[in-house]
Amino acid sequence: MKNLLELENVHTYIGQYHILQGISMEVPEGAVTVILGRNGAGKTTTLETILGIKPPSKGTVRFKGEDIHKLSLHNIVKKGIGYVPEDKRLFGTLTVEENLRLAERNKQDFHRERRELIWDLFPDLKRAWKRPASTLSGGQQQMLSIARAMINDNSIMLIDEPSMGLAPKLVQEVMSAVEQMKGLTTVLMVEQNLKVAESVADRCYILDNGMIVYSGDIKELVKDEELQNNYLGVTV
Amino acid sequence: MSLSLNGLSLAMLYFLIAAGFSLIFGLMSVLNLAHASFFLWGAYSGLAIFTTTGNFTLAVIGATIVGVIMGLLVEYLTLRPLYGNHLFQILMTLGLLLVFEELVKLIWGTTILGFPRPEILTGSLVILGRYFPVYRLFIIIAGIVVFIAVYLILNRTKIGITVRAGVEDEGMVQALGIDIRKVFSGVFGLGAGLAALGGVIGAPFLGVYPELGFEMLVPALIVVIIGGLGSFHGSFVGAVIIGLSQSFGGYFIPEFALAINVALLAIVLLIKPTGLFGIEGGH
Repeated sequence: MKNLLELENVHTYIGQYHILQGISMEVPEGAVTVILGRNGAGKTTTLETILGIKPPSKGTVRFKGEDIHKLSLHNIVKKGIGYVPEDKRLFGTLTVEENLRLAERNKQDFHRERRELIWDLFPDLKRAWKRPASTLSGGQQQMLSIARAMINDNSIMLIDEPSMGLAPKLVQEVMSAVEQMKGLTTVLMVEQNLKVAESVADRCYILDNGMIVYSGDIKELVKDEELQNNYLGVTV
Repeated sequence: MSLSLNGLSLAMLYFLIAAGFSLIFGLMSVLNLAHASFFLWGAYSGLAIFTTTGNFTLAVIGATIVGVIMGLLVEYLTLRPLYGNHLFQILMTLGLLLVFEELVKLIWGTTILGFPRPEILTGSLVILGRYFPVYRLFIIIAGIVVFIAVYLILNRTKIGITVRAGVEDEGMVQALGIDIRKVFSGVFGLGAGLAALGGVIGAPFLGVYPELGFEMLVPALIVVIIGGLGSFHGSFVGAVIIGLSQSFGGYFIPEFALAINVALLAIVLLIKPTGLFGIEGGH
């Protein structure tokens, strides 16, 4: 499988803190890759480094064979990257429709088709189409945040902890959306919940203190309780 | 009735300054004290065009364009390197306010200049037995037309949605692949253009003199805070409140006119610290 995204010896600082300490990562096309790790391990920073929100001080980020780490955020995104941030970051005063319209950057026909797909996946959003995003429930907001990244023909989706703060039933709904994305795009997802990650992931990385301590098949990790205890602090 | 009309005319001029002021602050977190200079330069450049051509429409269009160009230059040359640095921004825009005022004195002198009302807008209309000065009605109608036009742009077009989203979270707008710098420049240009438009249509009503910008700055600031920083319709409502209070207060208890406005500001802030239409958590 061809690699869509590659990180090579990436170092990122936030202020004086050395957060990512030389991580290398490969994200194969068409698969779901998950980054696991404890709080503060550097998972969100990894996504933000790829996007150029926190540019790396050293190392290379390559997307579709092109170095992107020196580009600005909006130019990186336009290469075909969808982003679902940890705290959703919806525009609360904008309606559901306006939130999606703002994100649209492809041809109108494409968006029409995607809207249909989004309505199928998340019927709640269709019902709340003209409502301000701030009036949606937590679960609906997460759906809108995912839908906003799906509205474009993105080659990859970067999803940050989609299960955070959601009830188990909603987590299932969100994960089935991620599952559906598999056929449409590549996914790189940050997740703390191994059980949730296992349900969708093909490959995984474990980050610990800004370094990669495990990479491989997620099924191997599920079997390895010692590894889970050491780096995740939980077992499945 | 005459006081209300006077207040509403003033309100529309405050609105034209405050609208851009508020959007620029909401979007870019820049408290642009030099914003009043665009009003001042709108008045002077409009007068210059009107004295040369005798055409009021041309003066209005020309002055607005002067404002837009000034806004774009100020944003690009002086504020762009200072985004995120509030202290330097305030010092820079305060400096620009003084420089633009001094430039006016250098070019046009310090005396008050009259801006003759165009023939068609002089005189009064008699409605229900009362006299309404045509020029005041013109200012009120112009203000309402601008309000509706900008309101529709902000609510119906993708550019407008982008600006409203940027007021909430400019970082996320960029994360959707939108170049926020271009949006900043556009809003700055538009805001400056509106202020200059206010200057040129306000000039025949207020007179043209170097301190005009500075005099408009304080009420415009009060309007912006009452309406809620970053809220376009908030600046309209705030302007109507302050315009009317200025007019009535100035007539009945002139020595307390400013004090009444400040008291109104304090009351609004006590009841709703974000202003009447401010966004909770917006920057």
